[in-house]
Amino acid sequence: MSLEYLLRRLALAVPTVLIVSILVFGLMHMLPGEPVEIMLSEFGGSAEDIERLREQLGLNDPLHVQLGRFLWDALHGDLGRSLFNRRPVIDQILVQVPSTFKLTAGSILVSLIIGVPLGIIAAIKHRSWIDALCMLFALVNVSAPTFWLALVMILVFSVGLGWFPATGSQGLRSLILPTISLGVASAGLIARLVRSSMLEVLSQNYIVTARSKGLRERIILLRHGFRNALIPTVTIIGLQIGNLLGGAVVVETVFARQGLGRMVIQAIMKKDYPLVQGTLLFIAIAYVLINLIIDWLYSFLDPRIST
Amino acid sequence: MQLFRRVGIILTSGLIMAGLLLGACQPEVVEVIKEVPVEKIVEVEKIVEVEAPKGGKINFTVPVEPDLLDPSVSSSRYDAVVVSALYDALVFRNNDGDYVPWLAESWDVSADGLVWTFQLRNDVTFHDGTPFNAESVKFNFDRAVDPATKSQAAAGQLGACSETKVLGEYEVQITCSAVHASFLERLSGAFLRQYSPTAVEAFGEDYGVNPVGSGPFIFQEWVPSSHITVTSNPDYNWGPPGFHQGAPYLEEIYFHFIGEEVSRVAALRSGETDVILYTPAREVGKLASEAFKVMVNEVPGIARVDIINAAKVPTDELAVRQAILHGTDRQMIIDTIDGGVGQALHNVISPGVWGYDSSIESLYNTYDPDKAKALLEGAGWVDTDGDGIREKNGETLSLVNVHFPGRTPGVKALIQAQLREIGFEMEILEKANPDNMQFARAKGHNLEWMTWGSTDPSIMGNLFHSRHAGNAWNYAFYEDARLDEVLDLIDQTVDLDTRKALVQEAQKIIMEAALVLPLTIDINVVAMAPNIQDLSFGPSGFSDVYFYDTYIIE
Repeated sequence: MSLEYLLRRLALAVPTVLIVSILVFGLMHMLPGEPVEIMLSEFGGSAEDIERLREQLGLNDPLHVQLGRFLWDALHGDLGRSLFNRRPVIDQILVQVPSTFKLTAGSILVSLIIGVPLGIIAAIKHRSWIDALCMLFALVNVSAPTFWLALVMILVFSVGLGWFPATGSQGLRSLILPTISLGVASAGLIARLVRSSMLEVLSQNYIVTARSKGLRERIILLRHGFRNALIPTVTIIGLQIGNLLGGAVVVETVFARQGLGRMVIQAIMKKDYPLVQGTLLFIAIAYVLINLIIDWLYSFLDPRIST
Repeated sequence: MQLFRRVGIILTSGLIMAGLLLGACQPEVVEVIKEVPVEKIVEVEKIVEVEAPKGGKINFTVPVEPDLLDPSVSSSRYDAVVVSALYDALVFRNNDGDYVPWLAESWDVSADGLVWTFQLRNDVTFHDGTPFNAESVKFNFDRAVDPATKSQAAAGQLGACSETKVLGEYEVQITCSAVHASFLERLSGAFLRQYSPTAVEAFGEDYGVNPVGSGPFIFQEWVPSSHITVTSNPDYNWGPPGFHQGAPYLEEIYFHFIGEEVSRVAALRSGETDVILYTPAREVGKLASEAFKVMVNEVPGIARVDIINAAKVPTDELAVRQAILHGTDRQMIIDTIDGGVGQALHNVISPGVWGYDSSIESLYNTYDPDKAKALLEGAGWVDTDGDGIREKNGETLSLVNVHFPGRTPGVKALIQAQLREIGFEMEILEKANPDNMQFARAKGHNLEWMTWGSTDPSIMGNLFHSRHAGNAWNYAFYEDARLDEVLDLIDQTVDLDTRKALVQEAQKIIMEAALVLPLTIDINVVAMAPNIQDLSFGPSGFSDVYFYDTYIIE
């Protein structure tokens, strides 16, 4: 990957991130209600309390002034402070990142461990009952709602068998149920994708050549077949990160885990503008960077793709 | 009703009560309990408290993580749970509703009700060693009203009483520009509790995550989205009356946060947590039979009600509003949806609110569909086309009922079916919090779900005074000069007997005008491991938790 390409890609990311920021700002302010009312709705504030707090928090300023303030501060690396807990937004994001990273990375691992072998086996045993069984399993995985799966896993493995904790985010053991709940949907998707790419690759001429050379079947499948079938899979993993972050919202809530997803959903419900804007800006930047890295990985997998 | 409130237990089903007794008590005290009326369980537990073993740690689950632990800034009742372990207040409100000394030894109020003078304890220190005195009280209250603090609750709770003066080292005077009848109630609450001025100066904007109070527990650690730990304050010797003196028994409290109620119950069953709040009512019987202790607390306020809009057809007619109240069977909600746990509500405020008038209940406490039908017919609403829905002048008798998503949707479906029988058609709209407020201010609703917790009757003012219509939380849109006057007087009357009469008059006006459809008393079902002793709750039934006397037995 040349430096010039990298810089061009990074430059293209700037408008993406800016548009995301403005969209998020607009959406948050278009939704009805506002943070002060939510703050005071719990114990009952008076109309005077609402007005006083709105003024003090700067929410009476015109929207373009508020947007300008947010963008200007963000440009200087300051994402502001949450309206509710008054802590710096950036600190709150950084505290949550490791937990969400572990969950997402673990889920990708789970989806690969389940999905790749399933896809390969289904491709080798194409049109047999094994193929049908693997694909049925994949279909169930893709279709089962994450929240349902998470609750079933808690009931069976925490309450029933007592093997894993039902909640929390400390230690490896607390990571197992959440990563499986989140990973299996992608596993199903990856299994289907690996299967179809393997089928396509296995019908190529170079596989026939390899076979006629008398290479062992294992080498043909893994070195010649799988490696070529991996390219679309890598792409889908990059795109799946968006889905996984979305699923993390559900999983983090059900398992009461630390994480960006749970934090941002709570912030959206409270209309904590700085926290939502800051976190989504952060996620947008992370998403752009991850996909940049994945593009770069292609060149290792397939020397024909030069970037 | 008074007895219920004192012990914080409301149970209507004898079966569950029996389960609780069997499940919750130690074998050696079962004999005693058999001879004692149900209402005295808590006192029996006191008798059992022979020696409280020191030490130990409890895991305490709160449904929502606190925002910050700075009383002057905060407003969330989940903040208040942890605040109650860390901070003390000037006055203590006991479960009889009386105000007794805590950090203030005594107090006086001038004849005009405007000047309050407090004599403070001279032996109290904050966790960082800073002494508690008149200067610290002044610092606290000045900071609460300072616009730079952007106070959510405290500034409004001090209200007109915003001028604090130091008279002596342990004597402080607070002057109000208008009479503030709820002042003592506010002072005893979570948001006017006392903190260390030194700590605020040291931590600045980050004080909310570095709280320093004078309470029985000292803040140790807060890992966001994970937990807060607090440990015993060994120097604590100024607990409120009615509690033991000296350091708390528990060594540590580990607060963690589980929003999903199914996950909360699972965590209790698997032993990951010792105490959970807001346990689903349907789990009460099962948990009790599994030897967990279950406590049902009333959460007082204007809670679990539908506010009726008096400014929209057809609920702008008194007869229609009254028909709604006569034509709904609230007891059925308890019996069918809440598994027999809890109590139906027949008044605007719940029994735990100061000045509750039980005589109001008789207005609507019997389910009387015939009376409801008669009222509707008298007002000209008759079913002319035989579809079961009444009409008048070409309009159908239809209602829009706005509900919070996820808040027991079955309740609304039940009401819908009951009202259908007397000729109403009711549409249920689910709207989340901000959306729901906007909709109600535009008078889009006939009935609107409302749940506000408070033990002070002044909340009726925020919900029914005409000056809060359209810009705040008055969703009834009812204009009545006398009601406005009474609601204002409730805020301005210090004499308790006069104030009580006003509170009762307000309940009467509101209920006679049928501005609210009460459903059930809001309850906080606390479930805990059998070895947790003497964990109790204050008047709010939820956020003022008394951890101070709590201990663990083998």
